[in-house]
Amino acid sequence: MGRVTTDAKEHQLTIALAGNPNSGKTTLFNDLTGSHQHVGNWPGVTVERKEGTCQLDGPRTLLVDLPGTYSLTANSPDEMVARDFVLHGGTDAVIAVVDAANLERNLYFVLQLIELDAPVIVALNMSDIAEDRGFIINVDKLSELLDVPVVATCANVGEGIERLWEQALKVAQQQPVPRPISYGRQVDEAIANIIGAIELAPEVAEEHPTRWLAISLLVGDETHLPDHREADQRIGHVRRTARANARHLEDVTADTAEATIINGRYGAIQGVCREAVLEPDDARETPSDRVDRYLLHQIWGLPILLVALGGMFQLTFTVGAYPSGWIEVGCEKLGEYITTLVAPGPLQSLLVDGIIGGVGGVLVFVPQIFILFAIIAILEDSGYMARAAFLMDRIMHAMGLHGKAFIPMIMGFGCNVPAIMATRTLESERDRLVTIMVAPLMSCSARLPVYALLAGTLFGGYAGLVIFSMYGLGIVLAAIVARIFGKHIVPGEEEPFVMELPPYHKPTLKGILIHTWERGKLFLQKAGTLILCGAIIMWFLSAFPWGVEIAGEDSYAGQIGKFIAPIFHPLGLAWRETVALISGLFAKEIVVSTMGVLYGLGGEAGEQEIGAAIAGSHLTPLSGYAMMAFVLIYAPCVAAIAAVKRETGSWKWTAISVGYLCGLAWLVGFIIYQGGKLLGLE
Amino acid sequence: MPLTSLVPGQRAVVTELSGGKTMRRRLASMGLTVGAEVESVISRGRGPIVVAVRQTRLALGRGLAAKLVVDPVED
Repeated sequence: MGRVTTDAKEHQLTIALAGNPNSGKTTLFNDLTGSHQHVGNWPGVTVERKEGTCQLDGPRTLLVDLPGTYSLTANSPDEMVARDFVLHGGTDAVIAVVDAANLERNLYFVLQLIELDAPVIVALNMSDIAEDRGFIINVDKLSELLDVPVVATCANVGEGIERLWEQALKVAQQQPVPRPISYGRQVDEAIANIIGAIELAPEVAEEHPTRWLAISLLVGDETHLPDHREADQRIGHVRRTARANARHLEDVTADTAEATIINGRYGAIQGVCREAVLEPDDARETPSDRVDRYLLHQIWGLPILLVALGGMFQLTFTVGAYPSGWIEVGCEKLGEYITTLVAPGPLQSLLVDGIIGGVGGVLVFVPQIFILFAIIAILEDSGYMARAAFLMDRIMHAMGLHGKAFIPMIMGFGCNVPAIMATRTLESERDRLVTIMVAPLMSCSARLPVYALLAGTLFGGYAGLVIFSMYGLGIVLAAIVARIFGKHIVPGEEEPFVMELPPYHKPTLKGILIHTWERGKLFLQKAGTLILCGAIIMWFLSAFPWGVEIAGEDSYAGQIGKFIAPIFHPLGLAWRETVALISGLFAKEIVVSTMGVLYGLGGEAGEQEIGAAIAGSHLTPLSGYAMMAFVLIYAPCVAAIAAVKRETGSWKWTAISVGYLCGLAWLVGFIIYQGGKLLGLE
Repeated sequence: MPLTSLVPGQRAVVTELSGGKTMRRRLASMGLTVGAEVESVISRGRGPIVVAVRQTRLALGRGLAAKLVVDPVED
């Protein structure tokens, strides 16, 4: 995937893409930029900032993909980012992407853009699907009535893109003209009065489009006025005028000013649609509705979802096993080759045991993680993930969350880092925080090799069942913890569930690849940085002071392990396991290679050799099970902890997350080991 | 009557949106406003419901849907 340095100075123009979720905005963005895009963060907020350079002819243009939102009223960080970029981002044009088969609601967004005095051009997207469903849209008429250029496009097959681009460049090079929307006499009068007051306060008038500001004030949004100081007579006047006019309007209409404005917008839209759109006679049962009759079936809906998810994991692990095997063999060969190249000594040990052993053990999961994320991308892009959220809503309610929180949880089975980042789609701060707290309990693919190793050696034929029980344990704990956090620890009310069920459609290959890469990349970065560091540090601790038996009792690792080990004695674990668990803080998959080193086999030892060593150690099935549970629960890797910090923006919540996970891990391990012993198990 | 009382296929006009200002704003931006026509698509004894409004299918949590008041339209 290409990466360009997106320095705005290199670009002659900046054009933003805005629109509702599910309008095909991202597909259009992919069409325009090819793979030349770059994902970052908007300053100060955890909202993804996607930008790229347009690959079509014309001046070199920076394209910014604004977050998909339903409105620009700043209810969420996404909306705030989109609105502020349109207002102050210095964009030369805004392409408003609308779903042609869903015009009324999409135009509600477009009207808000027009009210921001943005130089708007409308991409009437998915026009082929709308046509198939029987909509007849008079594009010229629509353009005339909205007084902005409108171009029909089908982003998924790349149709209309060049025409859209020509028009967008034209708009970008013109001066934008305000296009006031009339809300009827009474409202227009109130707006005019407020505009009058704003124009007397130049410090405010210069900052924002006046008509938009007047409407914001009328509906009670005063966040754009500078703080009221006694000296600011003019601002006080603006505020008083707005409040008086809002009160007057509310008296006359017997409704809130906001409701009047909302109805005014939809009224204007219906007027436009009546003239420019011929809706199909029977638009009620769509093809998606027919599919939903099965997929959202009262009885079969949930079993179908479970089978789909089961198939997803099955596919991930069976198909992924092949490339994983190749990577493992490759690492072994590389280790052998380096052994012949470099003389025995600290350097050879560092390269072979430390780096290749540590990082190689992690690279083995890359194929599985990418396959899982590709399947999740297909589920998301096709529209099924929204159905999954709907089906899971009732079950998630038992956890004090709602259906949408299910999506990040599912991703957690791949890698916790993108899962924690995916909580951004949740509207309420409370839901986001609770989900971030429990997401690490979803057993990520990095923990699987630890289970596989321990269960495979200690449980023989029951290994599969034992591993499965770990996933189940994680889900049950997540349910309990989410309830406790939601009820007693995280402030805020349970947020109602509202979600669009977009029409099903065929995902594009490019879209899936980009989606998969964006998330999988996070794992690769982790492997390249944290895991590499972790592996080197662990190697150093176990190989030094130089000359000691590798990871023997006299090595630094052995000394540390022996010092801390008493904490783990009640779990049936000794100093070697203690060291392995500590190393797992860098990344849980390191536990496996550390155990290899600890049992004196070297980092590149195969699982069978390590398994044999474990079988000969003091670990019993019972203490092994306690150790697996500990690995499942205790603080996720450094990368996930960093993600928690980034997303919560709070050291306090990061500390709570790490602290409770470690405490819970010890407690569960303790209950398993001591409880098992009481029951006479071994 | 509350939105949850509609049976699948039944149409109605929204007469009252409850919930806070932010929720009403959110519903409006998704097309659900006072005066909008809705049709029940999925409605069961329990769990969330699905309505069609302005060519969109919206899933609404049961608690929220129970607080939206509608007036059924006779066909």
